[in-house]
Amino acid sequence: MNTKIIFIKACILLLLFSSCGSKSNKRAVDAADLDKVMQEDAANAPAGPTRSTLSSDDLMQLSRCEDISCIQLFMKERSKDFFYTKKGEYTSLNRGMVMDSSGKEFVMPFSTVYFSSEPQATWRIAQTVHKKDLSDLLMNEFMQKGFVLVDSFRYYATEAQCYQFTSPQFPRTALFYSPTYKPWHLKGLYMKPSWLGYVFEVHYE
Amino acid sequence: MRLLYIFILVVAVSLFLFLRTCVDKKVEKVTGKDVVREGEEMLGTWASKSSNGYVQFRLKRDGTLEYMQIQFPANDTIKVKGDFSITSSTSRNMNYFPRLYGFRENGDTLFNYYIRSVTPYNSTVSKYDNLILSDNSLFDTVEYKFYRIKQ
Repeated sequence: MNTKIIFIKACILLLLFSSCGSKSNKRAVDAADLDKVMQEDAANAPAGPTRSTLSSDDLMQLSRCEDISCIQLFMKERSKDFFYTKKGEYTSLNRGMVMDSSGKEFVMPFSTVYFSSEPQATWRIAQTVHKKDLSDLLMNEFMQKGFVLVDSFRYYATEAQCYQFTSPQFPRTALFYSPTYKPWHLKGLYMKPSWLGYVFEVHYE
Repeated sequence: MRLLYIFILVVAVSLFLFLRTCVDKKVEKVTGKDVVREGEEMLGTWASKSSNGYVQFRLKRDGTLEYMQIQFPANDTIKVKGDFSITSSTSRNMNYFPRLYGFRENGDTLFNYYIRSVTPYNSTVSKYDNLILSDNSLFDTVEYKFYRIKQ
């Protein structure tokens, strides 16, 4: 009789202990410690991308590439900031708010890099920047390298006015800059952008 | 004879789970805290904080919801009571399901998010339980991370 009572008591205790001991509940955070936990979590998170666009040096170096493997090797070293989206395209891992012409805000990658995989192509590398501040920064970099405006024309690839810049320091390099609402060469993440994109195309001849 | 032992084991486990559920419900009633078990990881109180404010919501076993939002720096507090529901895919497009819906008492939608992930019950990886919500499962989508809060 005693054994039976002990067994029933043990069962009840087991039930009570297991009822109080939920694994999920044990992993709960004190509301007062939420700040600390979130900071700790952020510190342990893998390092994020550090930049949003390729620099002027990067673009000029890429424009000298003669084949696709040269570009792939170059971009592999920048895989923390850019990921391979699809053939001929890399996208910035750094994302943020971009405002369109109607004032609506979108979250999107800050830039997209396009490259030509054809050895005989007339161009090699182009970058679309989705934010004016970043575009101005990149343009300033080119200006500091002595790039000046030499020509402007209507460009079929962007269906907009394109500005050609050259620099005496880089004799065989030309920058084609074009603010546009059209996807460059009908490529890109967004086929019908409602915001102004800034295309930087660099040619090496 | 072996079949009998298997049968006894099945009965014992079922009885244990049944009694545990009964006791869990009683504990929940007495303490007012949700006892989360396998397959019920969504239940409980979740919160997230940013420089703009603090958001906390509690998903109860009976399908009701308690939502609280504090806006900084004035500490303006909004408290809402309502219901919640979790919906799995109704179409082929898995990018938008499963979703967590919160409703006010009058039936208006309070929030509607894709459930990106929730810490599994037996997880040994996470130190803290978290729930990640976003608009959809596409790569280029902002996500909101909530932590399980002690009740």
